[in-house]
Amino acid sequence: MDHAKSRKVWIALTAGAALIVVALLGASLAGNGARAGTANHPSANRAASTAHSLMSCGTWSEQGSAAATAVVSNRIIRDCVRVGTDWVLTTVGGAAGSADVAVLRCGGNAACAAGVRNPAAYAHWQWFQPAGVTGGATILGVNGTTLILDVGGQQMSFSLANDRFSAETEN
Amino acid sequence: MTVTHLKPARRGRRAIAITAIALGGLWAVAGPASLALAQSPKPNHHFLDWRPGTFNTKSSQGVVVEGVGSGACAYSFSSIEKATLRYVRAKKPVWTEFSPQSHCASIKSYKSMIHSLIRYVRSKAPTDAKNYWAGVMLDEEPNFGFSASSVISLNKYASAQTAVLPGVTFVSTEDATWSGGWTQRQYDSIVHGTIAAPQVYNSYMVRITNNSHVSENLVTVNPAMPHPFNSASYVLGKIKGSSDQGGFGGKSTTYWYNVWHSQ
Repeated sequence: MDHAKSRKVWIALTAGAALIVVALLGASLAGNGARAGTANHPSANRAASTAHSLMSCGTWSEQGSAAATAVVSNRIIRDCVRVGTDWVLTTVGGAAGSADVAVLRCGGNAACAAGVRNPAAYAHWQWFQPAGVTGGATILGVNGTTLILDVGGQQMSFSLANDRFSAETEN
Repeated sequence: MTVTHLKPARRGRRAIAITAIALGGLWAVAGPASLALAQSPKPNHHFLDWRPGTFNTKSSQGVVVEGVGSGACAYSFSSIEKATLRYVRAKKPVWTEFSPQSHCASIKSYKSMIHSLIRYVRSKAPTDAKNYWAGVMLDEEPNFGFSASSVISLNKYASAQTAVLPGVTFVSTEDATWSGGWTQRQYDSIVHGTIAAPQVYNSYMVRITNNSHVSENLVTVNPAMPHPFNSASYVLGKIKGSSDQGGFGGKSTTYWYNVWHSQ
């Protein structure tokens, strides 16, 4: 009787351990799939791929990577996106008075616009700052080739067509 | 069988050892990050941003009316409230978002706008608002010109306004901070009493979100964030706790995340 009882305990313990391992392995695989951008979360992937007409930045935009650091130095990348054939970066957390909007124009260079390879291989980043305004920049919206930004508490637009900031007014 | 000859205590120790070895092996093969758990339940619905002038009911998902600064800035308050009402009447789960900025309006003015918006939507469509208006989403960031205490004041006011409303209407805080910006403690105070909708755009925001006292997050993802945070699946896989559960139209099995885009 004791033997049978102990055996049940042993089987229960072993089965429990196996279940934990299987569960964790499942979570592990799901996590790895997520990191690799596979279809473990179909609705999430669908949202990222079809709901947005703007193009996301490639691996070169990863904060701390050599490619990104070469562009932003110690600033924190807030946004990175391709609008038309222009790559746009905004940053926060830089030195007071630093420019926080960067644009790289690919023009007709399809490889540059594809963004798989670091676009800095094809063109230079240009930095912009509105006159008399300091503070980090955040993209609030994109309307065609016009960015709606917050710069240091001021909402303003930036035209990629003429590189000009304008004060945002009610419309 | 060797096993049957072991004493129970030894068998227990052996089982523990096997478990430890298995976990160690898993850790070694898949890395420590593999043991971090993503949101559970996984979100199965998302909200998408639309500016007030664009009306979209084709998507089966929810909507955020992206009002940005309003006040002295775009978009006009009247366009924001009208767009909200239109979605509510169309029975679309909808948030109304503001990005409060000090050069657009004062905190007092934002409070006034929220008060007016609530009165407008609830009076024009009381039943549909109760079932479909998620409420007011506030995008607050350290460089938007308001201090942490100012946005806490705004959030408390907005939460008190929605707390007395029947139905699904609440306040969410779509906040972001960074090293040198708002601290963990400030972030926790800012989102307290609201539905946290953190903009998870880098590893700092992953830590802030996972270390906050909030167990349920309406995670905000954004294809315009730098790699790899421009992937919704990557971001959602990084955040612990529960996803935001919505009860729109009486359905209680919908779990949500929030997607910024610009249309």
